[in-house]
Amino acid sequence: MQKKPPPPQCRLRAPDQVMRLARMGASFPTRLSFMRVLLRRLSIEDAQLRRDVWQIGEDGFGRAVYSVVLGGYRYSLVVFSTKLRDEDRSDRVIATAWDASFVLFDGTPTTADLDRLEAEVPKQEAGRCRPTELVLARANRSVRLFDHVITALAAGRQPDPDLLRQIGYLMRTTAVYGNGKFGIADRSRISDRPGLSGPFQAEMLAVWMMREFTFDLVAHSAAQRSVNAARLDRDTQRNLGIGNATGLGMAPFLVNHPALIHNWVHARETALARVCALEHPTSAAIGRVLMLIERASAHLEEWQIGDSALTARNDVLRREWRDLQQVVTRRWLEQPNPWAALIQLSQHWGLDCQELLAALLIEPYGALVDDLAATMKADEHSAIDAGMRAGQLQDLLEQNYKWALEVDFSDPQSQHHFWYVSETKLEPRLGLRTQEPGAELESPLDIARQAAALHGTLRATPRKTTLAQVMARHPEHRAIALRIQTGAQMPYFEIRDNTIGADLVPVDMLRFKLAFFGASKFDPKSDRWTRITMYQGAPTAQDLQDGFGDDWWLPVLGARP
Amino acid sequence: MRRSINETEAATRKAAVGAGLPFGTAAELGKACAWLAGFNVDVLTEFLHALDAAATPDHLTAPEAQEGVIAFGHVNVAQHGCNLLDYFLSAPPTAAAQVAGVDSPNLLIGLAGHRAGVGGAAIALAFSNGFTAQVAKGTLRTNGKRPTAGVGVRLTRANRGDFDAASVASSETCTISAPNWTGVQRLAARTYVPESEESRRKGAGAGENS
Repeated sequence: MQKKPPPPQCRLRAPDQVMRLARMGASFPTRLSFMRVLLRRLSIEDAQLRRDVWQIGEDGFGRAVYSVVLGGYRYSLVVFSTKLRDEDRSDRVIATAWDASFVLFDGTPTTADLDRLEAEVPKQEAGRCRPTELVLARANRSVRLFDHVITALAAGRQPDPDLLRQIGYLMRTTAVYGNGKFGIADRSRISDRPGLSGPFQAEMLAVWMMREFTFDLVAHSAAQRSVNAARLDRDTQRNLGIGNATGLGMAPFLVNHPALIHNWVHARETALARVCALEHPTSAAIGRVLMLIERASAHLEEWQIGDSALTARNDVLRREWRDLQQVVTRRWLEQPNPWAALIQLSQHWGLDCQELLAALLIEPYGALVDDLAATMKADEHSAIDAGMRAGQLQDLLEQNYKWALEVDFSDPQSQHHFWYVSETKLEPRLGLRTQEPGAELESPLDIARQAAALHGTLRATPRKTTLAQVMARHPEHRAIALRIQTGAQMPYFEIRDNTIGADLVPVDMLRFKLAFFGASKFDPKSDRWTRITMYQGAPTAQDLQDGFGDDWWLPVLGARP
Repeated sequence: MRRSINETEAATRKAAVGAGLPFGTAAELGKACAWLAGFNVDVLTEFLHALDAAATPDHLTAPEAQEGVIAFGHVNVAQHGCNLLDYFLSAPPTAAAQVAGVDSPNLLIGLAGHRAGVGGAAIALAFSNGFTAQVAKGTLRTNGKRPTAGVGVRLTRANRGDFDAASVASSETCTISAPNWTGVQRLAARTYVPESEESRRKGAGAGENS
């Protein structure tokens, strides 16, 4: 059978444009984001979430199990709700106790499994899991909202919508571990399974199931207080997500998984290129884009945060979005190739506006782009081609790492930062080279500097020398040489900025990755960590049963998908 | 104790960095240990000895190639195992590599397994004590008594037929001795920066309790 040719597409945006940190830090979720991909799959499979165990006491503590079948496999979320003193409730990775801890279990746990997990899972990093556990995580209550919701429900009413809008979740995760950590299954266990083979699908599934637990827990707690307690209504549930506090751990991931990052970005950029190739969109598609522009406007109004830098950017974004709304009328969109024209027009505005528009244009075209989700995983195995000549490697380096060779590493500002791993819970951190101890233990996230150093060596090496010979004399270049070879055919392989320079804003890296997860309403608490909300506006388990669709991009509270 | 394949890889990679090896070399050693862990082979005793021997960095003596055989002297596998394979795998497929002695023969099998797995090659290792190993992507076939430090080895390209009775990597965890794991963790800990108030103040979640 002949393979169906891919749809026509425009030229992809250039990596020198896309892979700059300032633009990556302006990322928005798209329909290819991992939460969206998971929920589409659950919806297509008509997956039914089941509450198998509810051993939660009057005090709200105990254990519960939920399960769902995805891709022919049953997965169970095992949750332990435990008492936590207010003074111990911390978002830090270095915390040692939490309100809730959970695992995604492969299959249906026996009572013996539950007893074993109850002894280990609440200890998190200090406990040991087995390969039957796919994800290990924990969450803390939002004290303000959690208590308010229980009080309101116990009084027979719904919670204050303003407080819901401000906070947006009942619990927030502070770490979600996968891939072999602390004894859980390596990714290879699920990497070929339908439904979980894509990036972070197991983690996304665990968090979505956890969201259902939070709804049940507040209903249970309210019911203990009053026989007349209300339950959260469906719209309110949908508007509650799961919060998350994310720190620098995400930054090393981006540098250490370049082939994976290439595939994510390549999928998104291909989607945009396919959309931009459409000459005459249907009237319905134009109407949908106009509706999404309105929705994005409402979402931006709701996105209120404390961080002054992002607040100032969002103020500009809101202003530019209003400008865009003035220009982009139905009539304007009836010109040939309107989406390409719109992307071109957006170059007059800032990066936030450009990236919001790029994410928006992909949204109406599921039939055209959703197949790209299958291309977002990566085989990350690679080995050096030692027969390559030094001259060939130098050519590759000069071709693909020009951005790195332009950095002047004799300037101390270009090496202002250093990445390291703290001895405390092995938390990745960023230090100031001249002010903080530990630079001699620097993590190798300085890709531009490594590329520049290799370039110096190659320039002094006869071009016909094999890499086997170069590596014998210079094993310190082995990692970067392999990296340059591996990424030769992957344009979005590298963050094309100096990740140790003085102008680095690490939260840009976090937002990029979190947007691919599908998070929105980024709420930076410093330049090094951010809060976000996952699954806000997303279908609940009951919504999926009722056939609610996939239309929850940039949700607006109170609006029904 | 049992450790996941990923835990084995991460810990051994960090230990190799802690022992002073370059990041690229350390990464391949981690993959070699992980490759063997997929067959539930614990190579950490050799690995730790090899890291000890690598405490004094040196360069691999340029091999001599004569009549299709690349000849090496004694090789510290932690430092030079990757480079030994560089020379062997970049030579014509008919070439052999003859090594007078290796300090960590089983670690070398892991390195060869990792490289074969990625490059699609199949490699045969014939040790001077009579032990043989053939490695290819996800498969390992061995015969004879496991070699010990100092043994010589000859590397050649293997035939697919050599893998008829091969083991397939299927272990999800590796059984590791507690003292070896402690040794690996001790070396890995050399790469961690001690806590300081400044660094603690800037981490995720700092200053923000609900």
